[in-house]
Amino acid sequence: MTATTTGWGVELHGVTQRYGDVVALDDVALTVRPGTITGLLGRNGSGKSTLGSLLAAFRRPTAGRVLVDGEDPWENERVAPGVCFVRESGDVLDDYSLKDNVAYLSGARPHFSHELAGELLELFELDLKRKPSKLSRGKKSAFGIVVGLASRAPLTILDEVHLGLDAPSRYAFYDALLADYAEHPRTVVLSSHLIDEVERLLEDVVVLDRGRVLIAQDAESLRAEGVSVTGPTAAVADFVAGRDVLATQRLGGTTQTTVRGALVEGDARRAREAGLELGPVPLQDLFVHLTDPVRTGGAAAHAQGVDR
Amino acid sequence: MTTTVAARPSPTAHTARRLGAALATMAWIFWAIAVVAAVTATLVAWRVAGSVDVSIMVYARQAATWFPFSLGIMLVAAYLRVHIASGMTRRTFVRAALLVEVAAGVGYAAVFTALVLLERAVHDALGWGAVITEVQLADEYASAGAMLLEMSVTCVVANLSGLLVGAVYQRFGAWAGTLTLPLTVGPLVLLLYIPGVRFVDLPGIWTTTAAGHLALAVGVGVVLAAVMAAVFAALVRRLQLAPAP
Repeated sequence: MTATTTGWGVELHGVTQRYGDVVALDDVALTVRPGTITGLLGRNGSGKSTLGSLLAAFRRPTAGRVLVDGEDPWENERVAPGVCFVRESGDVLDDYSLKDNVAYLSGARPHFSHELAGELLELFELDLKRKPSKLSRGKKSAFGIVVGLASRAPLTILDEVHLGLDAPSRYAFYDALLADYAEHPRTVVLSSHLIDEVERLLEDVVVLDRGRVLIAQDAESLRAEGVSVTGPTAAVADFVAGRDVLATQRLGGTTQTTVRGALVEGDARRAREAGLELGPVPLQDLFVHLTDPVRTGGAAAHAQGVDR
Repeated sequence: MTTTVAARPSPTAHTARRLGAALATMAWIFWAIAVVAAVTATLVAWRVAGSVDVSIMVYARQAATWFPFSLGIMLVAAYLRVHIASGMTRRTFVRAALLVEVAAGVGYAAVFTALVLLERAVHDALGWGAVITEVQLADEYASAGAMLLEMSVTCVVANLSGLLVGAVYQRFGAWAGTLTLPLTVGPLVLLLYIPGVRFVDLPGIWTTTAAGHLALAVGVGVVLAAVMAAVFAALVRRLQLAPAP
């Protein structure tokens, strides 16, 4: 049983996860395409980590079905070794050296690459003799990245693994991820708050907001849906009338409005004639506007302060 | 369409090796300290009293029970999360933990018995006695097999009790873990102190290690161990990891 895999798909059907009174995921229906890098975006407490926990069988949903590569991952001997979920603080043997950790973790991962692990350890300047408990936060994150990438699991979920990393290390991580993904395609779910940094990596995007799926689509079409309209206030108001307005900023007589929805034929000409400037909207701006509690409502509910 | 992943070593064996190595390291430290303490105590007693007519080594029984018990708790707390996060199931963790803890229990009992017998031989050579004052069935006349069997059952139950306590704390949290201690540790305490009735002049049955009585004690211990193992397995197989480590 040594078939090469190009990544595992994920399906969630009506998945709800509760922690006592707190609903971390609320009737989520979602598909993650196999062999893609999917960005899992959401504000703090939106349910990203919970989603990862369900895929890796750390938890079982309160209701609904989770399928990884077509099967329920819970206590599944075939699926378990193929799912690697790296959480921000890492699930490692704190009081053993990194060398011992690599030996243990690699023995459980069928596709583990010691060669890649060695390269990444060197890249992040990690000393194999050190123990995780003695590492700085950034170095702990780096070790999580080493484990996550070197495992080459058909479904790799990286949850805020960049925390504490300095900018050069983060970019080294992005480059390493892309390079290894190109050579060994698999499904990667990447959760991050640094959207402007990871945007270039993403093929699909899932945005969670208070436990619900706000958006699930390919990154390119999502980017194309965001348009900024800048110009005289009256003209902008006229142009955006009837469209899905995400945000508006005014400076004197000039207004910039962010709308969601692809432009139709004639829109560009109409804007030009009205003296308006149309422009792209960075994914991060779209995300900020889409998850704005004022826009989506329920700001009070959002402030329930649990780490989900 | 489902796909398969490459073969890997048995997860049970893989984790059992890791757990076994961890427990072996601690065992070396424990027995080194126990031997040094027993020898030191013997020398002091000899200097003070001129002879030592009781077994000193046998006093390690309590420590040899409770120390591995505490390691059982630690084992669940430290390794279960990592085992699952490494792509292995709770089922294989249960198998590995039970395998290693039963082996560790027998191993501790074997070392304990060997040291007590060695001490007895030394005392015999010096013309001293080797009375066992510890609360246990096997007295100074008991055979090596009887002592090993009794201690094995005690150590195995202790280790499984540690696993059980660890699982309850992991599954239900600190309050439930503490409040259920009478249930999770109670059987071990029972097993440790029931033999004490041999000191209260009950009719002869407790004063010997006759095969029947030993079999009864071992039987009770085996049943307790089986129940604890089953409850531990049931708890761990449904255990959900906390949202953040």
